Amino acid sequence: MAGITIKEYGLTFVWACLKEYLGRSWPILLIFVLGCVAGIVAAIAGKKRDVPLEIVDAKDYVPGRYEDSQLPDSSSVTWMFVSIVVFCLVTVMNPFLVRALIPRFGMTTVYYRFFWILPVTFGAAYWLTRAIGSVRRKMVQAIAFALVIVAMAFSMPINPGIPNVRIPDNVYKVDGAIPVLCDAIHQDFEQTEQYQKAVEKLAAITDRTSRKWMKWEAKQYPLCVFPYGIEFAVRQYDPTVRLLFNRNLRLFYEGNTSTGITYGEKNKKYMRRKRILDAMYGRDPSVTPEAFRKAMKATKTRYLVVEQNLANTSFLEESGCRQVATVAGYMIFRFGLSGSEQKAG
Amino acid sequence: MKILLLAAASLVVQMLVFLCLGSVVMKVRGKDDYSLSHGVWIGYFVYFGIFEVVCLACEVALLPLRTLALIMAVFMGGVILLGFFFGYRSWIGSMNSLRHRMQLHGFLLIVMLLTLAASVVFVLCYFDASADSGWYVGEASTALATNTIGRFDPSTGERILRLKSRYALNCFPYHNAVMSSLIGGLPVVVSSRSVMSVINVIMSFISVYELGRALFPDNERRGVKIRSIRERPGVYSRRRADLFVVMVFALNVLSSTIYMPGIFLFTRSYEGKSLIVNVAVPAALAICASLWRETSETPMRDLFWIMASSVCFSASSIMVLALSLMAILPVIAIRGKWNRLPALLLACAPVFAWGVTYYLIQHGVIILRTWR
Repeated sequence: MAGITIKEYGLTFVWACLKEYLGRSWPILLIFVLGCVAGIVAAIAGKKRDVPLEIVDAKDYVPGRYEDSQLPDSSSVTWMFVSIVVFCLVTVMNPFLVRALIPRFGMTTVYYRFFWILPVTFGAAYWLTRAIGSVRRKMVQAIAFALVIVAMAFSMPINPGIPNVRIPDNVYKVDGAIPVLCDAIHQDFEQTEQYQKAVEKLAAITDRTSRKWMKWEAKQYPLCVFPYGIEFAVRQYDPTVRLLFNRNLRLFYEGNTSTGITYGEKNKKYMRRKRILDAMYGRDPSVTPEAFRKAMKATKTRYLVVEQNLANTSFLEESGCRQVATVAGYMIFRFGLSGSEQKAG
Repeated sequence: MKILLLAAASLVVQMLVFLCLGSVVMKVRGKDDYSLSHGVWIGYFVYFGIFEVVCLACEVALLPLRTLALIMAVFMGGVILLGFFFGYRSWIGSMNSLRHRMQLHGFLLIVMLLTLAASVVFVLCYFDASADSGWYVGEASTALATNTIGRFDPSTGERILRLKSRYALNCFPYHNAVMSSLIGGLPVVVSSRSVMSVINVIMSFISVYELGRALFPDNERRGVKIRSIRERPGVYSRRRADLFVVMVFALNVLSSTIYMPGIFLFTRSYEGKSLIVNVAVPAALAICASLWRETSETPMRDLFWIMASSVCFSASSIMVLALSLMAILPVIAIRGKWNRLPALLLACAPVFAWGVTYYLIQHGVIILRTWR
């Protein structure tokens, strides 16, 4: 979980994670715990009811099932919940075991998934359903149901995804700029020697399982850098665009450490990529045109897409980038590619 | 408009495959208490269990995606034919008794269906550009564009020289690539983020409903005097299960953090992780509840397919394994039904097999190259 490490929290790691997991929805846990306590009390103190013979629909009748067996009552569900909770506390939520094992398995950032084992949501829903269902009159039951929903709505915040919903403006559910940007890049890239060479090489390779085929298959697509806001949607829409930054590198550059991976100044791969983004947006004045060019050549980056109002245009042009197009509020710059038109000229 | 029609066709075909497969499985088992929703539910798990095996074999053998699509097309076609052959009587029976069964549910059925409709509309409208969505959908779109399985990095498009155990062993994203390959003209991004999201939300609701049926079985009413004709057999379990589904929906709407099941259900329904927490976990819990309440004769067969499909969905399938062991081992020990232990271990075999393979790849004992 972001910002919670075993190194920092030690034995309180599990508790810190649980608090982070539930956030302001802790009443769900409260309902679950209270329900389990009530269930245990009822199971221990409650009287065993005599089970008389019952009338069963002929098609539901299973010989021997009804007459001979004492089927477990609702307390068995309570014991099921209790056994899961106890097992969790002894194993995957045991602070001593967690401190020793979770870092070894590299699961610190995904530890929250162990809370999925605890049937908190389903358990809370079970107890609420049982409580409302125990009301005999239908009208009172409906009122109790409405009151429970209202009480929960007031005591807990709404799912953060719900306020962010909006009608998508295209069937692909991606930013409307992405299709036009990808089209513009492909249109330009397909004029270049790199593309034509890659296509020729690919046509000559018959074994699609070879390393060589994989190399040229990738090379026939342009290597680009996109703005953070749209980068992760680009390859969902158009996988024939290659991206310079992988998921973890980009997240780290943008200050997101939820992956638990960090990149220092000694990491050449990261520093080259950082230099390119710093230059694109003019974030680091110490990046010289030469250092930028070196990073672009080393990474073989071909296209930079920058928001029109944020682009460090003069620097990029001075460093050898050529503006290819301006579409949908983004500027596309090309670097280090010779076009077939230029060659002909 | 063409894409929307193709998306609708893909949705119908996939649901039909799940229904037919479920019908075949139930016919083979000789189950009498047939229901359409239960058939679809079982079929969904069996399909993804089988898909995992076929896709993994194709991935390791470096076969093209189109070969996998062809194999799955033959499989789906066969399943549909067998499903119609074995299931049409049950389907007709279900449709004929529809009115009767709706009466058993009562008004709460409408509330439950409204919450399902709201969830479907929500996942259809919701979109974001998160890093995880880039990975999951990117994996499918890359596979389709390069006609390969797992040989290119979904986030960059660069070649991968060795398969990574964390991602390569869970083949769920490739199902969307297969569907897009079979239904030419349907973009992967639409297949993953819209069609599959809708299917997964429906499956999540059915899983929660099945859990409700297991938690509130009809035999709980044994010995309680019937007060009116409306309380006839079958009413209690259905109405409680309906209310339970509505309650789970309400709690999911009020899940306030990015880690809780609610946010995964509404905003990340196309990701394997979401399927673990919202489909496989309630399904496994339903099996566990039926064991505790002794309402199911042979629940381990269903648990096997839930485990197999969990492996297909995500590496988090170990959560389903842990939950099942934590809930079932005590009931076996308390009631002394040790003869169920081998069946439990067999049901957990898919996740154990995945775990061993993961470990061996992670420690370099098995090296899965993406080239020859």
